[in-house]
Amino acid sequence: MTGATPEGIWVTLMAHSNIIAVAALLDLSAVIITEEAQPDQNTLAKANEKDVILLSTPHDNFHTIGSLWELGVRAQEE
Amino acid sequence: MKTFLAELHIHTVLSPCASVEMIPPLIVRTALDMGINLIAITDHNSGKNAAAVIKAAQSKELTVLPGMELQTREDVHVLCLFDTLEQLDSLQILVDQSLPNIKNNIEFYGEQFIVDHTGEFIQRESQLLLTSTNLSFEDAFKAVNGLGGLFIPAHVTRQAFGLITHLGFVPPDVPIEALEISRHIDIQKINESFPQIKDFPIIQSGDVHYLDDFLSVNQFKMKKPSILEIKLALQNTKDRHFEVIHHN
Repeated sequence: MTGATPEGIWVTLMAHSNIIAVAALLDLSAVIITEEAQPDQNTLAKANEKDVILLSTPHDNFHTIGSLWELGVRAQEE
Repeated sequence: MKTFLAELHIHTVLSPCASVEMIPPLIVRTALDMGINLIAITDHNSGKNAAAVIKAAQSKELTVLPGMELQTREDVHVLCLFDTLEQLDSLQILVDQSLPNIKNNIEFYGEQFIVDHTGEFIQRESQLLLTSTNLSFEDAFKAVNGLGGLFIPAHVTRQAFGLITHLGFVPPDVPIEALEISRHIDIQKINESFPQIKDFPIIQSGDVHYLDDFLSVNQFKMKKPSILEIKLALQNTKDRHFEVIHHN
């Protein structure tokens, strides 16, 4: 949560419903849940309620971020 | 009402990260030497040494609660405390089904010894215990609460395996009755550093991996050392009382 920048994309294996509160609070563009970790009904309901975009992928964090990088997505300058 | 000094987070030689001195008779003796009369045995994802410590404390002025430190799939550590071994055994069945089928690598993680009440070796636990179960935080709470146990997220502010670090805040739909902080944080500073937990009852534990780690700061005033009484004391209700005391 402390590492995220507003409007960023959060790539995480965490599917717990608390991720929705964090995403909404920081106004993230999307949360990508990796390795097909399954968000429960509560997480999905909260995402709909808060208009948080949830994406799912079978790939792990490393490959997901690698794909984003290939698409031209870059990290903010440190 | 009676006064109890409690250390509710103690590992034995079953936890690969615990010292070889963490055997039942030495745990009992160290607790008694420190004036502690209520302890809980909380090995990682296992309760298989709890009975031995209970037996080692027989006829002593020390109550031993059977428990375990469960690791949820969010990598959050939680103390699961019970009154009876039967309750713990029920949780163990669920936990065993929820652990990945991976053998312990002794060279990397350390030994996992099941021992008797004298500390004598019985067998090695071959299942890797230092890993997360597939139980969500909510599922774990429901299981422990359903069995009549007490569910206390452990060292919640710690970077590794702490609830606050991993989930940001206590999930509001889970009726958590207490949180634990480690010895490394000053309980007086919680309000300013972690305002999201200031309204919860907070216990402080030594997360005992070595005999020197015991803390004797959790003071309960209650009728008897049971889970129900501890829950009442944490609420500071019905004449029961709980506070973290300071030794100067």
